[in-house]
Amino acid sequence: MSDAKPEPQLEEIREAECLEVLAGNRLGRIAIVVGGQPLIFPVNYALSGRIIVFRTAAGSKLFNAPEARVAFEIDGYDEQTGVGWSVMVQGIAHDATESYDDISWAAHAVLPRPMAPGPKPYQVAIEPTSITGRRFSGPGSD
Amino acid sequence: MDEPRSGQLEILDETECVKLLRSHDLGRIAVVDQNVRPLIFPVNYFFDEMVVAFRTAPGAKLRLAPGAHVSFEIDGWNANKGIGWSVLVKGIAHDITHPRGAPSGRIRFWPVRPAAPGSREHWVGIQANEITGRRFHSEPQRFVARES
Repeated sequence: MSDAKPEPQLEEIREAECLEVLAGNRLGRIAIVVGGQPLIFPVNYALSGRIIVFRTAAGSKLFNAPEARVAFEIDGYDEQTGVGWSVMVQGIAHDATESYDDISWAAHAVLPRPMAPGPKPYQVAIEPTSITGRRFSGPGSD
Repeated sequence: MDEPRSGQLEILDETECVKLLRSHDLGRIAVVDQNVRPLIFPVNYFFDEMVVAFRTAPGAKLRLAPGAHVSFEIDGWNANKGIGWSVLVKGIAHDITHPRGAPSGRIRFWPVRPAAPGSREHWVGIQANEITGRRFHSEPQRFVARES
């Protein structure tokens, strides 16, 4: 093993930078809990302020439950530089389709573009309770 | 693999899902905390024998996953072809750091290579009890008047 091995680093990403990263991407994954079982779905999203917005075929059934706690995640890895990162938003999902509260109003200001086909009549807004991120570089774990 | 027609959403059978799981090494695990809040973490993994194996350091994944129902997901998007896909594995996670039998002992020799640095001496295996997948060919983006 070479002495010149770069120092591995793992750092937290501050919320302001997490929001910049969120604004610069459009594909993420949402996790919801159904009957104690977490489920993960990829979604195309848009960011409105601190609110994550996406469209879905599954509306009120999944996302209008009071306290519908969800997690949303994006990540990336550059094989050339060995830099990897991830951002996780934890929060409450609201069905914003026909609502006009502050969260829904913010959600209506952006237009997420789903790449998957089929009707997606419901607009869901995730009101964040926490936004965290981490970034690493250097050689991976042995 | 045949390519789905534009605008079509296609269900992938388990054989195809397994093929995709075997040919990738980065996915995401979802776990649930004590307040029924989900969390998602990216992990490097290796898949074989219906088990998703990954390595981790002490933290939320190690605290919440073993013995619990979890989900694991991989996905991909080919912008040139407009084809997207995802595979979801549902199962129960087990801490296999100290193997008790032949299957978990074998898994410890799998090539699980975390891209993230640091000591990741704990091994977790997700025993799959359901594997589902879907693939779509994107519809051409329609003109939207609101974005004129």
